Amino acid sequence: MNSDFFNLNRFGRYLVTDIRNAIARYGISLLVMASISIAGYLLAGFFSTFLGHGWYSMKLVGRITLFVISGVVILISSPSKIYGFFTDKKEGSSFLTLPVSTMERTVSMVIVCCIAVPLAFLAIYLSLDQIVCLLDRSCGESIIMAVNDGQYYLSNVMGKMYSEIGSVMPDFADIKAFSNPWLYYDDMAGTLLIFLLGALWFKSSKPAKTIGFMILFSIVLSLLLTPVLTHGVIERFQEAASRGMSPEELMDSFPLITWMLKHAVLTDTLNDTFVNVLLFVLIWLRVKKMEH
Amino acid sequence: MIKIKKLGFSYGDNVVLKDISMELQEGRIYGLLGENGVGKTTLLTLLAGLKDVCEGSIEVDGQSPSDRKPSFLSNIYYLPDEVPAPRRKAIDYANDHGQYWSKFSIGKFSEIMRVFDTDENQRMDHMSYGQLKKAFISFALACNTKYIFMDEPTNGLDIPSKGQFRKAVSKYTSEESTLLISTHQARDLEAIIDPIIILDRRDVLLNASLDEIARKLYFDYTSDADPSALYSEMIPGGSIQVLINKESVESKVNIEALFNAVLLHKSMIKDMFNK
Repeated sequence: MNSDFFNLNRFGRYLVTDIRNAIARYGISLLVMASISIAGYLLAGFFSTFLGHGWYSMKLVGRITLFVISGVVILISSPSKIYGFFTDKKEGSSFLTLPVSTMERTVSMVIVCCIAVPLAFLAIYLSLDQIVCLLDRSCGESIIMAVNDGQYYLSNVMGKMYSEIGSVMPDFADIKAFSNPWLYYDDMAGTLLIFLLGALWFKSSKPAKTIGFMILFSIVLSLLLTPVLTHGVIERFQEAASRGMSPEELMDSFPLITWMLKHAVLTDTLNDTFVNVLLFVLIWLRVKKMEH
Repeated sequence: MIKIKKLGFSYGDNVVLKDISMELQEGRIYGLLGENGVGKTTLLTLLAGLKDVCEGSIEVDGQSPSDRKPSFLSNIYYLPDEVPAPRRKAIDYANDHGQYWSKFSIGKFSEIMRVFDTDENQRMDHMSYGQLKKAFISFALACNTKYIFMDEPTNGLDIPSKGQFRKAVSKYTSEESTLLISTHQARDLEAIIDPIIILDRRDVLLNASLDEIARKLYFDYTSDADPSALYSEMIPGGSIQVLINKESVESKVNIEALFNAVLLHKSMIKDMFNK
């Protein structure tokens, strides 16, 4: 590949530099957020003892709640903490004049934000939770075990749904695949990319402005799409239903929606992939056009 | 070689550079002088690819800086006036970042840090501003790039460090390297810069070597006032006057006096050196 566009050797070196940079900027915050399970466990125990109820071991629901909260904080804060310097004149100039290509910078950013940070967080958080549960059996199930069971449960539910829906739509096969973690990962990656773009775009209050922009964007999109959905789908669906059509006939008269329902997992993946590729292109453009 | 043709740049409605043309030859240490706000920093950032031109063009060895291609970036080093303070030791920063410039020498970095009497094992975010600046100057010179652009490199340096800077630039800049150093403190760089570029608002007033300047202007250090002097100033022990060198008398160029003379007689000096 053209060495001015993407050079694997240089990219490898740059990724290492970038990961070091991420550790320097966000390592401690990530450790703190990933250690919340232990902090929560200890706090719950100490408070309970202090109030005279004896030692209380935080149960699965409490620990999952903490996991979700710290996960959301990581999701929102990590891109701006790691790459927020990009809009700063001093650090941004130094970053932009390092001899690596825009594509290498962008891919590295995406790998750090969407793979390295979530993996490090999950590995530390879940390991600590597992250790706590091993040391104190009264905590109950660890989050890893619960997720494993949850996935099994989800598959079962989906399986039942499949058999019920299958009576109406015999080829509604891939709904079982809803328990596939990839479906949730690509959504999370999309969210991280949005916050990464916000970190590269806004000069201050990056997460808040990104959230504000997303709210505004959702409102505008809803205003634009509501008439289309109302007139194009819902009214037509109601009209067809009022004519006493059977479910099969209803499905036949909406071939696109029927196809999307039949291939819901594929549709979701395609949709998320499209959005993520679009976000990647926007991040690349932002890095390319950035000036100091 | 750097070719700047009819360069124009503005921040919104505020035109900073207009119709600027010049060529920078290889293997020279250019001093870029000018009053506040004439666009010295803007010119350097344009050369480093941190901004895109609004009009005209810049070519550095045939490449457009704003494309920020690795093959271009590996040939330049831009040292801004304000430098960041990475949270790591200077030597680790140099080792890690130096790998992107093929001619970078960690030995040279350590040597220049010693010239500056600065500890390479100190964390950069714990350094004083002057120490930090010296670490980045050391890094810039150790990169051994073909072009080095420095914006006010002596800002924040104490008096001994300014001397060390001159020494480091003279000793550690390779023959093929071209340096473009912008400064307000002409005296800090008097011994090392040649040629001299004086930038005015929307114009290049002077782009000439010290030889050419000394051929065309005479710097009189006696205390006899000459009414035909382009510029005169009292200095300790006498005065300095800038005169047109009609009789081809040799003299040592005083950059501060030259700068003031050029600002007072812009069109005359421009015509004189464009002939």
